[in-house]
Amino acid sequence: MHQAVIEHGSNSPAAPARADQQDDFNLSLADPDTLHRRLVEGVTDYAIYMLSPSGIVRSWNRGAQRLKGYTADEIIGQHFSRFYPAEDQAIDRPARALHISASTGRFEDKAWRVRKDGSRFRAHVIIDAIRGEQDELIGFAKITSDISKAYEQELALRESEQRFRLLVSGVTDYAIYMLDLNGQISSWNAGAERFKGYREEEVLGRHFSLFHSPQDIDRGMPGNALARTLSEGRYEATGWRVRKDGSQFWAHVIIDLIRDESGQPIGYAKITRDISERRAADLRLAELTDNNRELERFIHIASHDLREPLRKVLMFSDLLIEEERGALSEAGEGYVRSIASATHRMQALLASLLNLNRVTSQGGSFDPCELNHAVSDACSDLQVKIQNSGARVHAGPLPQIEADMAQMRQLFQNLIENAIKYARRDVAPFIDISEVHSTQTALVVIRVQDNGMGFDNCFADRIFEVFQRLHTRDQIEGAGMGLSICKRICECHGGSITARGSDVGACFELRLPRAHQPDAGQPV
Amino acid sequence: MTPPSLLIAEDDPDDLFLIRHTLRALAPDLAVAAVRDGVEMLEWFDDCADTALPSLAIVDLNMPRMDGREVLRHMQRQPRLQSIPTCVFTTSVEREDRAWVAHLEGVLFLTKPESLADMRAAIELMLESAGLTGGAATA
Repeated sequence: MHQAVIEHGSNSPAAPARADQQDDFNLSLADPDTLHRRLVEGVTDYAIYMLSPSGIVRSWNRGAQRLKGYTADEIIGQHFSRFYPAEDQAIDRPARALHISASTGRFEDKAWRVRKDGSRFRAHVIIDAIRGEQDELIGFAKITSDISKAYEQELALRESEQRFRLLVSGVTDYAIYMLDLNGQISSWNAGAERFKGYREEEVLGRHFSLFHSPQDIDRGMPGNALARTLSEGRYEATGWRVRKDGSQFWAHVIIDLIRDESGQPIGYAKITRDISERRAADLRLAELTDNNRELERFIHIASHDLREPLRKVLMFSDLLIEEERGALSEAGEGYVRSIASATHRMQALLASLLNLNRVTSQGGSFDPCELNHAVSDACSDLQVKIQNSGARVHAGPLPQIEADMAQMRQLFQNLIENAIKYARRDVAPFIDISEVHSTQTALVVIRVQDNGMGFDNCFADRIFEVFQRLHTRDQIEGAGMGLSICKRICECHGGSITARGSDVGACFELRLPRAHQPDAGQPV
Repeated sequence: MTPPSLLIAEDDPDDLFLIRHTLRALAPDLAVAAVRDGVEMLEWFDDCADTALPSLAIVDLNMPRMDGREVLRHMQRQPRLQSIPTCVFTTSVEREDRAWVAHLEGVLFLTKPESLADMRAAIELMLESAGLTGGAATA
């Protein structure tokens, strides 16, 4: 009994005090029995009391009074079963506890006990059988402590572990599983089952090289990965992994080293994600980018090389007309002129194709750019056309933006040219260029309105397509590339252009970022 | 003194024909020799006596084996070739080509024309820059 008191009390705050007191007692009170009794009575963290062989309370200490709420007077002489909840009493738990203690020497339990006021507490209970000199049972020493707090913490911990396990096991987008230090699988989740095709019972205890191709295994990859994790704490890689059905998927893998509280490695946590789709998308994008670049190079070379023979056709047509006129009939001369005119058109097409290509392939240099300057430069480039058509260009105050000046000039030049080209036959073109208030501060909106023929709104998207024209060639000259180039320029600047047609003319709206964003300018 | 002559480095037979054709009209007395690339041109220079060097060289930029840029570099390094009036006559519209030629002293840069009239104007300009107009030209 005394032994038990000291063991259980070793962690209690009363422990150091007790050692001091013992010295005092030793000096003043020589009788060890008195000393022990005083000691037991003084303990407040443990209920320590004696029971008769039949379970009647024989002694009571301060700890017992504190824990259970009874005073010594109230409880001594009562049967100890009243400390048990009714349901335990109903199945004879108190009697069984005494029986076990009597037959084995000790009974130990963690269970609910009831205080005087009826409230329950979680108790750690030890019942030691006390025997006399003839080994006859003379009673029981009972030590009870309140472990409610520890019990609650344990419950909370168990619950959170449970929740975490449920969470991990339910995750389907990631394969999350554990390996022991040998690389053998020790846990499995739904995501792992989904990616790899194995059920938990098929895979537990097997080595994780199961998911590697024979080539990777030959190269020692699974082992190297664990060795790296062990030395560096973490391993990250992408590569092919093998499913149960033998098919492969492109995986992103992270392995973390798991250590116990003392820092000793105890295993690995492995997170695998199937990124096959992302890889496929990356590859497609790279391929498209390559294709685009290839196409741009092709257009560049082709339009240069194609212009060469056209130049010859033109020159030799000139020779025919100028120097062989006598040998040609009037019709023959007409044919040669048709050849020359078609060739000129072809040249114009190639020139604008080259122009369009240049917008995308040569990128821009983005500097502060006064849009009013861009407009006036465009007007002076178009001086002859503006004069001949009697056009008037009016520009309101336009903002400064970060843009490629040459492209901005080209943008306004094409729009003005477009307005002149599609003017009404009897009305001099008037082009009004103005800034429109924008709710988005990062964007400027510029409106270019003309008084020309306009167009049917169902063509509002088509007019920006390459070589698209809404009129026959003899009505309107040109390659049909001007607006495509406008669109490219806007997109290269991270902006956009839209068109609206009406009876009073066409209206183009440009949306351009005030400041250049380096990510922009990836036209489709 | 040997009569003025002209050397054309041109790999395109059509262009060569058109240049010769125009020259016949503009300067019928001018002796015209032609080579097809840079290698032939340098060989031609090697075989040529100092007194027989041409009064004007017309050089295409893009030619097989050795292109016009290399020919020009070579001519600039050789004192006997340095002073030959030279004209780069090319389809190139590249800004870099134009800028590169601009830094060479006494070298004219002309883009190959797309009409007979422009061809005549270009050749006239070349002859003028080489001081070959007047007596020789009888257009």
